Amino acid sequence: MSYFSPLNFKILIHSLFLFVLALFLSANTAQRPSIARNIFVVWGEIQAPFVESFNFLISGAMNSWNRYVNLIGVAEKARLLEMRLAEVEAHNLQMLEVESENHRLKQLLGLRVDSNKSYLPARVIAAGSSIWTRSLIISIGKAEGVAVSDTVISSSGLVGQIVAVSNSSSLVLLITDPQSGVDALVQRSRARGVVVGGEANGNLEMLYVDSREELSIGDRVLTSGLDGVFPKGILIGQIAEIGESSTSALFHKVTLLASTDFSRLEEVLVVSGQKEKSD
Amino acid sequence: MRSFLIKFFIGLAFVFAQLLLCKFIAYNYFTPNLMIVFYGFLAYFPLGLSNLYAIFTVGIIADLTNGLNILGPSAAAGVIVYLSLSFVVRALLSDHFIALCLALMFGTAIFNFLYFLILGSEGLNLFNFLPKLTLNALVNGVLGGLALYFGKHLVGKQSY
Repeated sequence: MSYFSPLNFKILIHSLFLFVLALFLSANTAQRPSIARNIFVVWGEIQAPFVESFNFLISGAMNSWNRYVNLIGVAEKARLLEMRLAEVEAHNLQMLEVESENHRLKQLLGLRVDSNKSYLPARVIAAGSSIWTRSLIISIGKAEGVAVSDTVISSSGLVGQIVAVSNSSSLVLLITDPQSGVDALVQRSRARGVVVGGEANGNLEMLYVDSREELSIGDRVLTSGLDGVFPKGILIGQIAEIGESSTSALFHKVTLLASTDFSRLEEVLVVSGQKEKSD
Repeated sequence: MRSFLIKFFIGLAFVFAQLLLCKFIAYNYFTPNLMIVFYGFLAYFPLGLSNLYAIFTVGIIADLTNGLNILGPSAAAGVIVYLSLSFVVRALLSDHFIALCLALMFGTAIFNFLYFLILGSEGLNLFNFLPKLTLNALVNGVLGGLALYFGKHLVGKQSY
């Protein structure tokens, strides 16, 4: 076959056309995110049953294996868990008392208690596979009441926010994504800043923290609720490193360790504000 | 059309496999990108436009499931990988494992660079990423090359 045969030439021309078209699409969709999100709504419907079935099979196989392995030492583990349960129950009683007192005090102060949000459980069915974006696909969507901008949390803290919703699945932008931003505060000192995804995998950075603020390694960082997206008081992570910002001496450069282990997420809760919005 | 559909569905299987792989093993610079391997895999089929259009459509879907809102880099990188495998590898080093690895490394580098060009304006510094992106390209190249090389010997020589 000649190197410059008509077929090769035709393929080169089509390649050039498709390459330019792909670049044009990239540039356009980067400027108008709504295009990709609308396509995701359609694609989400098509992919969800396939991904869920695959996921069910693989998870089932892995769970069976884990259960078999975990049988070893299960009696000892059960004894320890029973002791731990007793401790937690006692602690829980105290917490209920504190919660009730907190509720009464808030009412006395005239603060609004945000009890009309709904918490929707969901399974993680797939994870994004790019260095540049960090995302998850979860098993519930519009049909269950999920909406764009709803907050996603796990038992250990903040996970991210919903960026696209199809009828039966949703795309979650993780807080570790470089394009994510969360208004946050340090629990101990109340210093404020913005938490964004770090450049290294899974790291978080807290930007715009006033350099006069006193911070310590291990301080817990929570959502401030001031961005209007994430509810107040959700744990984001702990301070792992404090340095000087490379761009300005006015701010600290704070690296956080996320409280959630994103590589082991199986179940999440979607905090849906729909009831509140419809009020 | 039939040829395109077959390749398109093979591509979709790779997309789903990648999504599930990343659910169980969090994606990092050591995780092979199965999409790049898929682009290489298509080079086993005889040269044809159906390969290119399958790469383009599957690339768009891969970008869609990857996360956010930018459609196109996977498709653009796919075209480059396919061209480099189809023309350079076939013409110069037709049956060489190293050539497969190099083509896949090159494709990964292009893929990462295209994403960087688009996201670069968000304040990302290429030099911070460079060592990790090089590592990513090496991993994709070697693992993808191995998969393709052994795949080729299992499936048989179709087009090389």
